[in-house]
Amino acid sequence: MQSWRLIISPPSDGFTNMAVDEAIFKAVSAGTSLPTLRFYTWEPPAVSVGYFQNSLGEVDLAVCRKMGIDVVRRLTGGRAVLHDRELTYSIISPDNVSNFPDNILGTYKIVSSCLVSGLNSIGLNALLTSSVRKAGRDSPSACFTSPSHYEITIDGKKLVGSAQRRGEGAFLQHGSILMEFDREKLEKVLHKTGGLDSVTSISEHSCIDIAGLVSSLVMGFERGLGVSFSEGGMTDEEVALSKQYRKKRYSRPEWNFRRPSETGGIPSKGED
Amino acid sequence: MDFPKELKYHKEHCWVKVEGNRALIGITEHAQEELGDIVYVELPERGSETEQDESFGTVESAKAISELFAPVSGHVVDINNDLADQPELINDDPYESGWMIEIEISDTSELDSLLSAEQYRKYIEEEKG
Repeated sequence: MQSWRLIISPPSDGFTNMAVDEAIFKAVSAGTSLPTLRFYTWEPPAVSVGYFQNSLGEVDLAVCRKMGIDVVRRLTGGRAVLHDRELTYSIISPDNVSNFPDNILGTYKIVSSCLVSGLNSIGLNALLTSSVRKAGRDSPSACFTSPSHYEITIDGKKLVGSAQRRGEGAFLQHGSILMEFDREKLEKVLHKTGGLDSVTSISEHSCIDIAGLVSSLVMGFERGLGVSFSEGGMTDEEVALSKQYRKKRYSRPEWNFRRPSETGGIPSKGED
Repeated sequence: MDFPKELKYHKEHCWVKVEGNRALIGITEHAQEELGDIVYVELPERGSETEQDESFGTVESAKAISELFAPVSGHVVDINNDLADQPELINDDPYESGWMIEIEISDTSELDSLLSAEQYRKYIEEEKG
């Protein structure tokens, strides 16, 4: 059986969390790191916005400042997510391995099935919901209010919001699993919300803690992908890259408060 | 699926329409179908350079960002500004109004590495398995 890497990161700020995901994505795409499943939490809480979103239009920055919430732009698509009392997963793999089909929706489906399997193992009645609803530009900001293809729901309410990036022979998919849902806070932080009645969280169905949830999800991924995970850390190369990405990209207002058309996209190789 | 014979194709699913020393570039019908509804497009600036097999932009569809890889190297002389407001043109009309960039080709020998319509069709059939 193939052995892949599991990383359980200590709580970090949003800039570090996004820089680490990208560093692992680079290393996996270069073939210098094994496919990796990572779990992490955010300290302080942060709002992450999609690659093409304009943070200024999506997030109430004054409220965020007051509440001590950072704002960071992701490398992946989708809409805004408030990372507070939640668990984030990321799965990073070459796109030509037999465990995943080489396309967006096929990958969503496999990853979602792994998550559902893990959630079911702790008695949660999570389902993989196939939806054809269009994720258009004018939909509400919050990622959780826009069920897209292969969403994970409990009693018809969305539990996990995920997003993906593909390129350079690899993919990165990460997603947020709500432990507790603070509707009032989300409504304060994001300008446009809607459909929040159809959002749910782990605490509404189970009293499992984050460590227990992580263990069950790891088993779900092992079953679903037919691989075993060995817990490890980042390589020296990944640590160096993540520090660079944090400094030159994710901690900068030029990256976090502008859309790619205004910044010329991700920095060219020379700046990496 | 339509793959016009007069175009050349890159394995990363872009098409190239060569006119003299210039080339129009877009993504194939197969690519737009795999991506699904495209909601945003990021293209290089006029005056920038593309390098064969390197990323020249991104598209967002189905909450995924996918990188676009240049079929040939060159100097970007024009970009399709309509795509900023109407990214759906790429899905609706990938070979005409959904074109993405026009470049001045810097090394015409790179064109030899591209596929014909028939070769590309076979390539994606094999890729699908």
